[in-house]
Amino acid sequence: MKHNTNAAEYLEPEPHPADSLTYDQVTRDVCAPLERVPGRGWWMAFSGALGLLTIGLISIYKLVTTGIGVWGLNNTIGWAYDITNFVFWIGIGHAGTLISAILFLFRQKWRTAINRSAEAMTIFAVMTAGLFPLLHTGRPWLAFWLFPYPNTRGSLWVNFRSPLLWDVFAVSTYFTISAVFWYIGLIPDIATVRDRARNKIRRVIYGALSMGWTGSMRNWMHYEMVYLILAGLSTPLVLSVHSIVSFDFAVSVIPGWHTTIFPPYFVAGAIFSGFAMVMTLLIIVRKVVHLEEYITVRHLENMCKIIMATGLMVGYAYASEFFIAWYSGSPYEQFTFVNRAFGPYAWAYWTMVSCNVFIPQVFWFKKMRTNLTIMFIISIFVNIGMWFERFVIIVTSLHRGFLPSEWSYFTPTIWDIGLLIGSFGIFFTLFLLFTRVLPMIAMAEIKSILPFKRKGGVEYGTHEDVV
Amino acid sequence: MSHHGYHSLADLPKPGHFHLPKTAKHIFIACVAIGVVSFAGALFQDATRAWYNYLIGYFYWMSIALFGAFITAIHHATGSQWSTPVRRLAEGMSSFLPVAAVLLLGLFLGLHHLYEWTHVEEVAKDVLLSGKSAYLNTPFFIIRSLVGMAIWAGFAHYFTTKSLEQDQSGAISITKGLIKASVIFLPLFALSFTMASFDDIMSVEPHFFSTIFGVYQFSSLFYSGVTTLTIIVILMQKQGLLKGLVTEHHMHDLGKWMFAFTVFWAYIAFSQYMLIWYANLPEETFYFIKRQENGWQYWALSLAILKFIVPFFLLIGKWAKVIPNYLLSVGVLMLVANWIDLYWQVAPAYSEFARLGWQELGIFVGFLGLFGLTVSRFYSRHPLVPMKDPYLLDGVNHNQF
Amino acid sequence: MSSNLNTKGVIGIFDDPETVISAAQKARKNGWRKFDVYTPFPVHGLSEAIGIPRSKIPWVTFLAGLAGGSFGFMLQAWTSAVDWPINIGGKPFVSWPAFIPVTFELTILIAGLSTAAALFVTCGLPKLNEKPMALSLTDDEFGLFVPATEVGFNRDAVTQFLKEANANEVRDVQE
Repeated sequence: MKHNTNAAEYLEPEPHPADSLTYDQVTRDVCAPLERVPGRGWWMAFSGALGLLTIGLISIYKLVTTGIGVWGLNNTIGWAYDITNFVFWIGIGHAGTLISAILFLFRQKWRTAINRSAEAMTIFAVMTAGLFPLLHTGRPWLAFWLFPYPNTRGSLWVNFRSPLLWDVFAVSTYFTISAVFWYIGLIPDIATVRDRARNKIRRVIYGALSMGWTGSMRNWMHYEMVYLILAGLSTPLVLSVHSIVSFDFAVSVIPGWHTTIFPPYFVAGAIFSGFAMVMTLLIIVRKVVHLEEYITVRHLENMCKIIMATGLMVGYAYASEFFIAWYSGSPYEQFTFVNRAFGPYAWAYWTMVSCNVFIPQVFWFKKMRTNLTIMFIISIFVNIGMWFERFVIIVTSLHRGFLPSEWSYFTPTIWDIGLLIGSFGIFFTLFLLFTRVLPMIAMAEIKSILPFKRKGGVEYGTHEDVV
Repeated sequence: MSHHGYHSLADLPKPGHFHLPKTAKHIFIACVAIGVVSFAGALFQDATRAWYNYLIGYFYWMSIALFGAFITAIHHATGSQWSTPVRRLAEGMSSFLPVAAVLLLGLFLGLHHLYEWTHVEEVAKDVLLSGKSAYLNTPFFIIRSLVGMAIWAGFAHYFTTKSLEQDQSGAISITKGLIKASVIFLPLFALSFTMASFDDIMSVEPHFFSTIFGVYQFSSLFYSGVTTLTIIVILMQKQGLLKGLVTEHHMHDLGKWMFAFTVFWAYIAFSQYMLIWYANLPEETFYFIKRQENGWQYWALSLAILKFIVPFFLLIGKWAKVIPNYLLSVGVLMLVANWIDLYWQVAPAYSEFARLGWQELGIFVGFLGLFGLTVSRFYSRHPLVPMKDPYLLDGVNHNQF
Repeated sequence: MSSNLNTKGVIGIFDDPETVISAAQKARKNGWRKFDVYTPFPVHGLSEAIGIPRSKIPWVTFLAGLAGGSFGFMLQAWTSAVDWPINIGGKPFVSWPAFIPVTFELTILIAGLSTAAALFVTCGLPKLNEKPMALSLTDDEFGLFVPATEVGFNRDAVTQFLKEANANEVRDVQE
């Protein structure tokens, strides 16, 4: 925010929250949803989410008490909705890390308005995702067998050469580090909530959560360093997580799975889908909790650009897979890709291509990038498209094996669908609770990018003038 | 750190004028001479060897020049500010593209030596190669190469000309036009550079295929490009030409990019290697097996060590990115490692046993000299910093923290 | 002097970051080394004004990362090749390419957790018994606190100094 006559401002104004904001107003606005009784909008959304959650819980109950035979899987197609949902939700989580860590490293200050909610989304999405492999084990109460611990069976160790085990490490590391990063980001803001608390219970709870943070500059200095380091660690981590998810497929010899572009392709797809989900959520949330001044159309427009760029990367991957399938001369590869586009699952394939590659191209036009309705509709399309991408990769590659006798078709049962619906219930319930109990916007970060001001809001100078 | 920054474009110090020192000029000319003599000598002795070193030299320096255009486009498309003071130097790198276009024409003379798929009789005998002949054939190769080069050189020319025009007028409309052009260029770049990677480098082993190959070459393009840019910035600073315009903060950022792409290259290279190693399909593994025996294993190993592990540890600290001489030495090492990478990908297709001779060194040095002469000619003719760019003030005042 | 015994120090409350930065610069010029500033957000330029040296936490991250990675690789090599070697898919017992992902994840995990732990240790968190000096310091005000243990501490001189530095309010902080 330079205040000299500078064309850069005029050219592309930085999408900062409104300049008229004062520090105290930021505190009041952001803390408001935590300090008032939720309105009708929140209760409606929350009861809807609880409804979905109930469907999920019933499906889980049925699954755990009966076995994974209740799903529509068969001998040929051993992975379908479960792993699709797993990859889908892990991917959703990636935008949170991208916004909180990568955009931080790139000094994209506009991220401060959205990083907190995006990080929360990461954590809830990873929790939701983690459910699927656990449930797929059939006996989730034995899931601790996935970890290498000394045991009385030998010790019989886990197989470190299996990509499924890499997943265990990747997803649990990702969850742990994201949670730590999120929590450390929250500490100063929780201290703010603590100091505003009017009753003792709130003061004790938020006091404990804030760990007694005082805002000492000597602490801030370490704090900022740690935040930077965690951003630096999260960046390769987020790349590794979806790369390792892609290894689940790519290390195999199944045509359509074994291809070397999978790791970066999955990462681009994850960011793409994650941004679409952040957009879907924020368009609703900014309205419901009145944060339009913080999460501006400019923020959403930037996200549109990222969606379009990552959508093109995904399109690049689709194209190179097709080209190399032909170029390789391998009849199996060639068959798989022709079958994807024109076989029994062609409907799924073209849904994917339309939603992920064609439709986001409307974001080339500024009119479309600034129209909330259009953005919302397209973000939904991308969510659908990215779910189908994983479905196409998993199911179409499996349903035509090397031997025609194993050819098959997957049809979901109501329990497959129930769990998919339920996963949205888990995610939305957690997210809505979050908007009630924790500051949805990183107050300290927003304040640090506001121009220096006196309390009354009289402008005084800027950071850059002082630093 | 309490520098107050500049308040208007008029306050900024002017960059110095660059003159290529006489000795440097003589060294570059000597390099070109060595290159020409080595190439001619090699052509008589072992034409294939001459040509594949030519291919390596061409692709290596073309990538670095193309990085200049690519990073300029990224700069405009993302509205970056910090990179404004070094952008002209990147534009200067892309001034090598027209020379690369001429070198590409030269390369067409060597196609028969380089690419098995140009041998019509052999293609007819080989099911796989005849399957690919709709793509891998001489006329289509030439068309693709020329179209790609036209896109790169054309856009690079536009970026530079417009930027120089802004030096005069300072018009903001120019920046707006450059943003539009950059957004169009980037997808075209992705497609054309992927194709060039497949055509020039992957098809030296026409049976090999890998979907990540374009991304792999891109990681090397960025790796060597940002290293070259950093080296140029340091050399300019040593002559005192960018005083007050390029600060420690810019060096730190360039160093971060070098570090980031050291890691990114390792990530892509590991992904490609591990997936092929793990699936163990003979139609893919032959590529790496060939490159892991008869002496090539030492090249592979030195690649992992010199292209990734050593720069990773040398660049990880903050201090490492702000000591010019140190960063310069690491940069030189990285450029050498990048050459090892390209050589290790190309040469085993022609030479069962690893070898390194005057042909390799001589021809590579020739291209280096040519690049040095072209780029320094650009720098000596134009201002080193786009002094009327609307983002320049923020770029110069750029502060990391 | 007797008033110094039960006084923890003196705090001056400022209502904008710029004034507190210049106050901190002056305080440092006074030769003070132990004073601190409490702020609702990290004010850039302030740690330089106070003269806080750069954090050493990156070293913790680096060493913990090395330790985590080495541990990760050795764990895999030992369990797969030494403790109970099992031939899986004809792959070597020590399949280094297959061990990279877990090695990497453990590097990040141990480095990240150690970094967070280092933050808590260096900041003395949790410090639940410490009462905030003023509730507004996590909202919109900035407090320069000079502890009684400061070099050459004199209550009246410090109070005078803070007033002259344009503090809105100056008061003693009791134990």
